[in-house]
Amino acid sequence: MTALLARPLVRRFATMGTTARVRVERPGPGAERAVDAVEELFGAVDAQCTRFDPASPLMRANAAGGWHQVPQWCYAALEEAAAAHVRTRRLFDPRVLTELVELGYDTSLPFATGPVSLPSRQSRPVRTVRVLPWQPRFDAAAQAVAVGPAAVDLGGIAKGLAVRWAVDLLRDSADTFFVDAGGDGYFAGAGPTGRGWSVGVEDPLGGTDPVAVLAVRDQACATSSTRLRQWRVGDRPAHHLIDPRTGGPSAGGLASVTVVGPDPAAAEVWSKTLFLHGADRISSVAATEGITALWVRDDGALGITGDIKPMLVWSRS
Amino acid sequence: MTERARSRPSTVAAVVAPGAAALLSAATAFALHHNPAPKAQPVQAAVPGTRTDDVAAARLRQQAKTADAELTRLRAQLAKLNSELAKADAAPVAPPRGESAAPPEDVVPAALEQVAPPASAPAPPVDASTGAS
Repeated sequence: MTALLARPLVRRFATMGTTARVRVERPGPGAERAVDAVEELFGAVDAQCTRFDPASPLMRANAAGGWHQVPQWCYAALEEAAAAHVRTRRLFDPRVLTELVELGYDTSLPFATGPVSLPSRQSRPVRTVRVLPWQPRFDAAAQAVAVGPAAVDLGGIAKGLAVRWAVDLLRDSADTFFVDAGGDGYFAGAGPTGRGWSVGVEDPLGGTDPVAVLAVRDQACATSSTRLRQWRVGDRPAHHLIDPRTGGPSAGGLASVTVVGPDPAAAEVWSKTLFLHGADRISSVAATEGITALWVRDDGALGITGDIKPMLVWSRS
Repeated sequence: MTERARSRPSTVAAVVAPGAAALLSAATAFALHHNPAPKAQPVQAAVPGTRTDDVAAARLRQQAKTADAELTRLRAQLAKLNSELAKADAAPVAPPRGESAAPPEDVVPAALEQVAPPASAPAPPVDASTGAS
């Protein structure tokens, strides 16, 4: 009886430019320690993979111009990024760091506090169209990597991976929990009501109500959206979803893409990739790749793949 | 090979042979119609130095010449028809209904996009949100 009435364990902490949240229903004896480990894990992944600290292992590897030893999370994240680059036929491309810096996103911008505006630049940002594939080299025995010649950004995929690794830490001590890190989440078990976790898909166009509510159970959920991380450079709008085919912010007619799947890192990669494919192609690409997705077009229209319908408990009219 | 392709003659000759026979028999009928066998005609006057049989033979030779010319014309027409048949035989054969050709490589499966059903009530409370990546 005590266990049934136990309050859920909820932890919030700032990490990776967002606020992460962990919630464990009916926490057992080891739950508190597992959540501590999750918080430490996020801190370690952030420290190793951030691009906002020139002394981070990732930025040192970027600057090395050749082989460079990196710690475990950074090494694993680079390996996963390289695999995703191939899997998405190069549309997922971590080398867009150069373009983000050109657009003024060279420091952590205060998106949470309101509209961000940067001074206009003398010249238009340089756009690099990536023709050759990214081919980093890995030495597992030495845990060394050669990422160059272009510098890379692991922002999104590192967050998805942190969620994946956090789930591994929680599984031994909980069966009903979620880990949510600003757009990337995993929802284990049937949730508090037994009908799955109720996940609201935020309105990317700024509305306060969600555009849809999904019942998610033992699945990851990731959203790529321009709602939060967008800014202005002078009179020109910019956002963080860079299309490697053009070297500029994606302009494919989509405001957000949500992907549901078994793995948080893969869901993160595909939400970004489908976003870059744009409104005209998202449906056919999702069908071809077998991705479960929901998206909002720039005009507010909502689209879904057929297989997300059973999870859709509510959607905006 | 498709059923339709199998049912087509394998060579032009197979088609042309019956056609040629028909044309030749038509040519003969044409020649006979326009150049009927000569009837015995009374000789009005004997031409000095010739015989009546010689005149009839000359007429028959002329008729044979005319029939030969007609046959040559029909043979030319037949050769033209043969040529057209050969061209038609070489053209690609469209797959029959219900039998599909290999699809182009860039064709993707049918789109699965659907429009989400409209809301019938206010949004229910949520445990978590996804959106602000």
